[in-house]
Amino acid sequence: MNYQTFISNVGVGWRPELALMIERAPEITFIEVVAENILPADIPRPLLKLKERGAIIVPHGTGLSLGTAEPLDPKRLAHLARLAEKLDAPMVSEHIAFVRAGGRDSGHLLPLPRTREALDVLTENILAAQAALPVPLALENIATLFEWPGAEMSEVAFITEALERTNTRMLLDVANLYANARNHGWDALDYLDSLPLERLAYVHIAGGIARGHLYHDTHAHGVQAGAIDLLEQLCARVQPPAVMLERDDHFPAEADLRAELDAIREAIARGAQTRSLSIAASSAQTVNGYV
Amino acid sequence: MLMLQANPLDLPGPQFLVFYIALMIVAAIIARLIKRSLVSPPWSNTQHINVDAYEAAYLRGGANEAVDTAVAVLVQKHRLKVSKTTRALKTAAALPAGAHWFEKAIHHAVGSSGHTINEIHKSSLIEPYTAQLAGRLKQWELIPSDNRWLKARTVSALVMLAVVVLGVMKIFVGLSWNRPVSFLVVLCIIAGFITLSVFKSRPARTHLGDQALKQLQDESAALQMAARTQPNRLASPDVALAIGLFGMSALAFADNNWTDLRAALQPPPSASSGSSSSSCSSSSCGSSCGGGCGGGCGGCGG
Repeated sequence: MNYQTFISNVGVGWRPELALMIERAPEITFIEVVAENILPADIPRPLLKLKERGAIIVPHGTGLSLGTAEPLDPKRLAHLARLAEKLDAPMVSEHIAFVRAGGRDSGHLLPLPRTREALDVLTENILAAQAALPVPLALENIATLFEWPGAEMSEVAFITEALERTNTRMLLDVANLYANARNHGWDALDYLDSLPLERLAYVHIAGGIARGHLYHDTHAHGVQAGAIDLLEQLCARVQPPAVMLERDDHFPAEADLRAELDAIREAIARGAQTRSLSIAASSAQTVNGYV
Repeated sequence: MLMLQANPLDLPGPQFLVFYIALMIVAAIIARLIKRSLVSPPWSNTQHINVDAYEAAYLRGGANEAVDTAVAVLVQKHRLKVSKTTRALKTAAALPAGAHWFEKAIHHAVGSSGHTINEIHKSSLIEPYTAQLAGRLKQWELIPSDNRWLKARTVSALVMLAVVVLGVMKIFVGLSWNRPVSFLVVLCIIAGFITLSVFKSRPARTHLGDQALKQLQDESAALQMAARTQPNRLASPDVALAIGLFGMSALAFADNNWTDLRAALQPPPSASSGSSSSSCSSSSCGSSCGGGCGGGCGGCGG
């Protein structure tokens, strides 16, 4: 299935806590599952029902550790591949990060040093993963509380080169970008302008909370207004194929979750309106230029 | 082969005993299969069957399960309360006008003076209402109708009775030959008990009922997940259906009221509920699909 068939779809990350709400919301036709939590041989019945009703389900991996300077675990790759086949997924997604090294697991997604050497490792692993997977791979930017010293390039340059060298798509997490902009003083709009947005597969958005001087992308709180604004800004530049709300803990009441989904839809609509006005204005300018 | 061709009554004692034991086992299996077959209607579609929470509870575990489900729902709605010390239930508040008729019956039966769950199960006030639930399920042939049950128990018991009769005949043959018959007498008594058991034990559901229950549980797998992970977010009708389909253990309420209720509904072993109940007969029941992104990667950051 071509990922581009779901246009500006607003979806939710599937969790057991949200299974009933998602099942009773026929308008939700795009969902994502954490790949490590689903057994291909025993897919939960609610997911199968969603698949039967035509929902697009994307396995989202968290354990491949594409940034580790070691060969990828063939079992993890095989799991991801089997799951994609069982769910008829149009793609799988993973992170530009590492979670293990030297036989030790960090328990968390960690940033990569933005060096040429690390980029070469990442690229090699992405190509290996692509070769093993039956569907395209989309790569996600992560939220980081620290940066490695000695960076040779910006994150956006690092990610862009990784995408172009491997010809992969991007899963842009605007909440992670928002978090990094706050924590590291980045210009989020510059970041958006520098990204190869034509490679956008879909978008993540999630909530978080500020603790002290740091903003934490917790997936356990409401979506911040700043992240919603960034989504609108993204949509003013490009129409994303789909936007996925992630919630992993402290699940809100159904009404509150629906309100968040509505806020996301409204941000997409505002961004789209800005984009069409901008296109109309530049067309008028071009016409005037020829008159 | 020779043994099968010969008249079993002519078999020597030890050989007959072996034959008789094998015959008892085979006859018991055949009797059970016949009973299951005769209580069930011809296979048909269960797609259009629509049961409510209390009918589902009855289908899953009989009258007592339906009563327990209603009690649990009424406690969760704070219409009944349970004493931690005596495990007695009594009314805490009146029911709204639009309450389910079965909840009204249970609420009335519990009353204000306090009864244990066993007393409520045996209450004559309850019987007409549980019979009404059963009536609907019999109409759909999800539980054996009275006519089918009579035919099934009679035919299956006759199969076992034939074995008893053969044994008795051999006893007389043995006595006439002055042979010891005590082992055979014991076997005949056992066969007699099996016959009685076959005659009395009524299958809880027909094949159609098994199919319908499994289908309902499969269709409600998301509800089961919500009951396990977010019970406090469930609306009352969903709580009722979750308990009806999956039993009280499906709901992960953590408050004291619920803990006391569970204790009250599981009286000491000497009390018998009298119904064959399975709180979880679906393969999806209890299946784990893990939590969110926390599986090894904290809050994701992704």
